[in-house]
Amino acid sequence: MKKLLAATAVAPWLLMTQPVLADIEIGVINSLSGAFAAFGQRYQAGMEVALEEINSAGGVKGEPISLRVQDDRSEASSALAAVESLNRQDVPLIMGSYASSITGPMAQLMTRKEIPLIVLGSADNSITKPGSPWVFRAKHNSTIVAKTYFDYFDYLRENFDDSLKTVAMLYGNGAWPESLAKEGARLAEERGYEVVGNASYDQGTFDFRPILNRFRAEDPDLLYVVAYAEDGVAIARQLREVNLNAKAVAIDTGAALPSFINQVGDLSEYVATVVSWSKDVQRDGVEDLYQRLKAKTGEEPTFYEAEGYLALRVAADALERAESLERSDVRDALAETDLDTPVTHVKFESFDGFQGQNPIRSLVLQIQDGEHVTVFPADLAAEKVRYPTPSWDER
Amino acid sequence: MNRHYLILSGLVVLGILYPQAFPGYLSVAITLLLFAGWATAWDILGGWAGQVSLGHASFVGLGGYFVAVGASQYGIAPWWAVAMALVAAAVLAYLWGRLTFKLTGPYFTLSTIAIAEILRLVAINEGWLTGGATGVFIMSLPEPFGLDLFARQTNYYLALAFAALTVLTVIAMSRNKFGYQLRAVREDEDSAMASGINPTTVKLKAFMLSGALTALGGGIYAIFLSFLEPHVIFYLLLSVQIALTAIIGGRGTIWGPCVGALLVVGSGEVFRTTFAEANMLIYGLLIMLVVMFLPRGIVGEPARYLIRRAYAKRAQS
Repeated sequence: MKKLLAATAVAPWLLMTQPVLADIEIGVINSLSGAFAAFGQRYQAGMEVALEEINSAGGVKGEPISLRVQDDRSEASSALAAVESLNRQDVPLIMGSYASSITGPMAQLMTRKEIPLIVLGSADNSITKPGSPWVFRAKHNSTIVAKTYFDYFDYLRENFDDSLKTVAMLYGNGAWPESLAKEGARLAEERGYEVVGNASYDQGTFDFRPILNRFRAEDPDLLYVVAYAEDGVAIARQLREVNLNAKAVAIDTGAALPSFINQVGDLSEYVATVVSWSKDVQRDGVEDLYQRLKAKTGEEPTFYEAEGYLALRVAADALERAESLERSDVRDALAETDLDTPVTHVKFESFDGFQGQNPIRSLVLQIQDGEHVTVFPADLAAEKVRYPTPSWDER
Repeated sequence: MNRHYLILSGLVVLGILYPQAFPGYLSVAITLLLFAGWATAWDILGGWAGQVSLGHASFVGLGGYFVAVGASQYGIAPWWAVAMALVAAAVLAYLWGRLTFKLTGPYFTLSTIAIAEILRLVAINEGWLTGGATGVFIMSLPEPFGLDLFARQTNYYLALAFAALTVLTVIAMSRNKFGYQLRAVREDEDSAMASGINPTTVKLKAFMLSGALTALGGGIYAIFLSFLEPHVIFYLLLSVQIALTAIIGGRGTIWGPCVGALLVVGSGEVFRTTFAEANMLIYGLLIMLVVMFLPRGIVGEPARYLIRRAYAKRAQS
């Protein structure tokens, strides 16, 4: 009886962990538990949508593909153990992971072991700069994102208001905010903007009023903020409390999440944010992808799901074109990628010190009437930019 | 010969053979050995001297950053960088201890968190020294005698040597005057003082030794990861993991921290590959069970039982 009970208890686990038999298995290292699990789950959903699409279209080289997913527990050392594990299973390539603190060590190890890596979520410059012949990133990096913000500011200056001149910068002291701020400061100087405020804060700070009050004294035309979910919400709310009126407000990362609009409400109107994909970008197949992602997750999809989808599409395309499933052949095929997807066009290039980086055209979304709307670049935009941001007294 | 030396020798021999038997499982073994070494080093202060620190990630970070910044910005060979890190860690521990050893119990523990936070913020904000929040890559290292320091086998043997050295230090310490002084201070500082022991000096020595050994492991960790971010390596969570490893294994015991590392890292890896997203839940349950049923640790509880039985037998005879 005891044995029967034990078998009953263990059986579901065994079934869950049994690999699905398929001819081509792709390695995935993703943060499914730990600090980054919320993001990892979104990437997973995107990959599953791509998997269904690829297999229903005949798979790769006529064979279905499957994912060998390993959880990195949001830790670098677990990710390195997962690389070894997938290496033993002889997967032709690996996709992963979310944070740069995990993806960086993975990229180093996989370069040494000569395993192709398709970056899943990490956007830190250091992953592809200087990069390696074995590391590929279809999504954006901090230089591309910062450049998109300043292209947008230039667009506003050229089309709406040639008096735009001063910018105040506020950012967390994490790796991503710091790198985006550094690039922003460089671009501001290069393009003739005067930085009148430049402040960083420790993650976990929720009272930004002293900094924002200082900024108000400088009366900046543009506000450039890099913040995650909770701090982004707090900053957006406190802008009104201190009556800081900038003509354009950009909040990276935090403002791109659907929850930002729910939590900040009307105060979120006019805020701009850069993403790699949106549901209304003017590309073929976007509406269909949006519906499938939404059906998979049961909620409003974000660019995270789209990036998961993109990574697997890139992997499948390279495997299809590779002469064999040998890793060097897969690497060569990845280097030759020239792929159109509903997320973006992918072509890995070497430029400005980057290697294996897709020079993706990132998008600027503006919150209009409680929705994220693509407003820049103009040829991909769904709506016109709303400018200027009215002062708080007028709202 | 002390039986602990025999056990250590046997384990080292097994450890030397491990890469031949399991060449595809080196990363998890490296992590396990590093945690065994860190937890044993932590236990010199936290277990033997009874001063619970939740700031040991600072020493890991210090060792790691000396190696990473030394290699990437100044071209300093890692062995010199590690030597400098050991001295820096000992000096840091001395100053840290001087400031905080007047505090006792939870106040000392809280002060370790505060100082570790200060060091984390220094690492993030002093970009000219540390590379800042975006972290630092180790792209190349010298190859002494043709040895590739990035190779997993090399990382493994370095981690094995580190773990063996820390255990060896504790075995030696457990039977010498310093070890008895530590235990005396841990049990009752006033009585220790009455016996002519200066508790502050003894605790300072323990802290310096513990910090220097932890920094040594940090240097190896940096080479293993090849990429350091201050938010991760100086993070409170790492300090807690190190302390938890020693506490679960058994504070103030020679083998407790190693057994703790086996449980914490080993089970973490098994659960990660077996239970998918539920792995942290199962892991948490396991830790809770150990804490509830073996409050003195996996080694500490049976060791206490054996000691009590021995006393009881002696009293009967």
